[in-house]
Amino acid sequence: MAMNASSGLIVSPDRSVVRRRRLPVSGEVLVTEGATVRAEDIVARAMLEGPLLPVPVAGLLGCEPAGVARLLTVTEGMAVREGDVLGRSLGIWRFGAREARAPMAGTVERVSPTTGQITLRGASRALEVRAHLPGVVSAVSPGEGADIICRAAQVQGVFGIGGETRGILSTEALPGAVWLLRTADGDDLRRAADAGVAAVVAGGIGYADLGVVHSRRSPVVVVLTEGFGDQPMADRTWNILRVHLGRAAAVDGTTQIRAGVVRPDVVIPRSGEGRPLPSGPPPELRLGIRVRIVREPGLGRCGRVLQLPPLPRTVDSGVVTRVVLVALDGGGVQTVPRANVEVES
Amino acid sequence: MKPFLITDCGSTTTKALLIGGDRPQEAHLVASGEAPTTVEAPYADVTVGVLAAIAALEEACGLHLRVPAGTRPDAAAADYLSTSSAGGGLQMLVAGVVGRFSAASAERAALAAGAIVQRTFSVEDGLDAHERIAELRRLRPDMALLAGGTDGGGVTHVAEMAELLRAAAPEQRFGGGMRLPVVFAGNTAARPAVVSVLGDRCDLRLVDNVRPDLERERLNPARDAIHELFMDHVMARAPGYDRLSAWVAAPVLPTPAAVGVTVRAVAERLGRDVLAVDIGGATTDVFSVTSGRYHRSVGANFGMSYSATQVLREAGAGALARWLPLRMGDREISDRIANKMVRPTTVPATPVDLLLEQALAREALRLALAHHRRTLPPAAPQAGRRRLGDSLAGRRAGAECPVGGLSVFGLILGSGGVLSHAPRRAQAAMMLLDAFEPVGVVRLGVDSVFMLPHLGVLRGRCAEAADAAFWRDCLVPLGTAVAPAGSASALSILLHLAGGTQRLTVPRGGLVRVPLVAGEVVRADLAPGRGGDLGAGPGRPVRSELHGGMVGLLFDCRGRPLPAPERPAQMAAWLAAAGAWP
Repeated sequence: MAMNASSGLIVSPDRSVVRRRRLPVSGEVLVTEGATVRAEDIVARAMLEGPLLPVPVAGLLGCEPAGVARLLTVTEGMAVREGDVLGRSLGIWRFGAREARAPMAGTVERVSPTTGQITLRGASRALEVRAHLPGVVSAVSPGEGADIICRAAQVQGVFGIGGETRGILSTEALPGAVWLLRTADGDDLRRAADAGVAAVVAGGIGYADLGVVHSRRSPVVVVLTEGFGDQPMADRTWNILRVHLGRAAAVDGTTQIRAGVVRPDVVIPRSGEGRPLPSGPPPELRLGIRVRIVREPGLGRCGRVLQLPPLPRTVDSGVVTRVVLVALDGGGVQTVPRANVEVES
Repeated sequence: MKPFLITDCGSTTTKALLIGGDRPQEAHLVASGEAPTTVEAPYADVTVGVLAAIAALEEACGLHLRVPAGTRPDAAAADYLSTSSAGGGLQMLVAGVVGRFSAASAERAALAAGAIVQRTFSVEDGLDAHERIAELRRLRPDMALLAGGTDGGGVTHVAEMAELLRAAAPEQRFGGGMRLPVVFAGNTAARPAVVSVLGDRCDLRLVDNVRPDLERERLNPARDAIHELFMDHVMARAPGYDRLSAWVAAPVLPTPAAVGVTVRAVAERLGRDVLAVDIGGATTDVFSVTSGRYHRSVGANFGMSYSATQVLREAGAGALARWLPLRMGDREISDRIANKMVRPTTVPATPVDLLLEQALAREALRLALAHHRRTLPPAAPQAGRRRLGDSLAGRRAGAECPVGGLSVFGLILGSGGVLSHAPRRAQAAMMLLDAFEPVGVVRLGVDSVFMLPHLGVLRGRCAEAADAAFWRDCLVPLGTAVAPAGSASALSILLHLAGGTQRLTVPRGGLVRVPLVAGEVVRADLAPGRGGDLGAGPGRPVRSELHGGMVGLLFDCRGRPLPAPERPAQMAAWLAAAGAWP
């Protein structure tokens, strides 16, 4: 039994990438199965109900909540423009007369005799989901969205910041580019923000340096392939990405570590190669398979599985755990907790 | 006694335990088994993981506990019970009128019921009405608890909060077009208004006010209503729970609620106040029973992996560095902690990584306890009575001079991997001592394999069996800590051992461990130096019984509040004295 080891992050020069493009609420799907789409095409759209805004009319008119109804100039269901009078109190001989006006355009949804509030609902707005990748619509989920499939090089990162973006893969900080670096630091992030770079893809960066992104409210998407600290991008990852310099890349910095893990990724579609490749389950930890060590000691080193001892062992920290013996690239054998290796995929 | 088969469906793992014995008083852990929880896709059925965990248990003990087809637990073989926090547990939003009164009480009621409180709203929460509505919509809770106003007081603000809830019409987490369960536990005079606003939109339950007046808090009716709705609505709709609910011999309890049942029972049995903590990857739950009253809080951002960087942000790298017996720069600390966050299932393989994780645990526990203190119920109004929370808040009835934070606790019980599975038990004891800074005479223990929830739900069926299994198999006694309150002072000790007496003196600022195995109890005369207080007053001696454990007796004269170690060598010396390092 090869338990405990994580199935590794995807680092592949050529695979079929499927993206589920879904609306968060029910809506209309604009594409059909088998259709070819560009990355910027809208695949689904939903109309969201407008925002709600309670207006304290009783307070504005200086009356009891129960008395609001007789002072209103609007009724439930009526459309109003911003600034329209909702209700009016005349005061005594017009002394102290007051008006309550609509703070936004919308529809009167509810009048409450208990609190003297009017609830206004603003205009509805469109929510659109784009394809993000150029490819073929492989499935349609009515009312929800579609799946897009394409042949691409794909590199998953371990951590990312920001959402989806696209740009030309480059080793320079160019406006709108996806900037590829072995390692990055705070100065690189500042340069990226100043130059209007779309995304930074690097091996590692100091955790403290991420403050640059937050402090500048920078829209730069960041994807780290290795982790935090001085960790250069693994040679294999670097080489897969480098051969695509000058081509369009789709980057998604979305990261969720908890249940339903989501890792960020960089996808470089291979134009003209739409035929899907067969895909299987992620590889399991077994003798001979390649793994990467993801925690000290030996963080970032790669090698092949030499032994999988069935019984737990005590490692240097004193922790008793099941281990794997790894024949490291470049020589040497290291005993590593199974939880601390990822299978290369 | 018919055995009990009990599962806890956790967020990642479902653990099955078999509790057996000839008589309830002899109940003990027979075997355990675990499997991944299957509440999410691709299984989307919690019972798949439950049956897999039971299968693993069967393999371990050689018994048949499922029906021959393997499709359900066999009621003839064992009574089946379960707790659950799978799929995020019970997620609630809470609304009140005033943040520190009704909203705080409502939040405590939800927490006591074992809920995860997604957000607490009040009229003074700083949000505009439209922002509240947007947030209410985003949350998708399982249930809402609405409170506000004292009985007979004003109605308007409560009705406003009800209208916000109606306007937002938050969708339930498991959807299905069902009406959102709402418990109203506010001003009884506002019930007609609340019913008129929410009655046709929500499944509304009206219960006694959590805050009938400013001086009193009454949480049980709201807590009971939440449990009832949890079974009827949440459990009924979570994937696979309709089957699970049909299998169990007693209602499924939310995991934290079941832990609370166990903690309260232990406090009752000891006749002492008890503090328990469960430190996980994302959150740290703190449970306390003080003067018979129970309080639970959730340190939502204090955990060992998913929330590790939030602990780092809150405490600062320097705060972690002080607990290390070696030098490490702030950048290295933050990078290592962040790497743990992004790869949460990795284990520390080097001594340095282990020490850093244990430093992180100290800070997570410290922050969680501070949060627990902040959320304590209000003090009881009666003059002269000890105020609830005094033991946590560092107050003693009728005394201006505090004796320290946790003097009245008889037991501090730790749970969670970093404590229960520390390579050395002394490391767990030191984490509890450094983080909680208990004073006086306090027993320390850890949960062996996270049995606290199982024993909580078992208590509802057979309290004697739950008791027996707790003391026999759940509690791993670490020993007893003796720590004078006040600035560091020396401590003279006379131990009355079976073979005679042993006298020792712990110098001011020192920490000394005396081995005493689990099950042994010694009488001790303890005389703190000037300024040191073991509960009888500064410098006054006390006589106490000290219980042994895996670590033994820890005489801690480092002072309270605990001074931060000035240099790594000092921390190394403390750890070495306790047997936790090197």
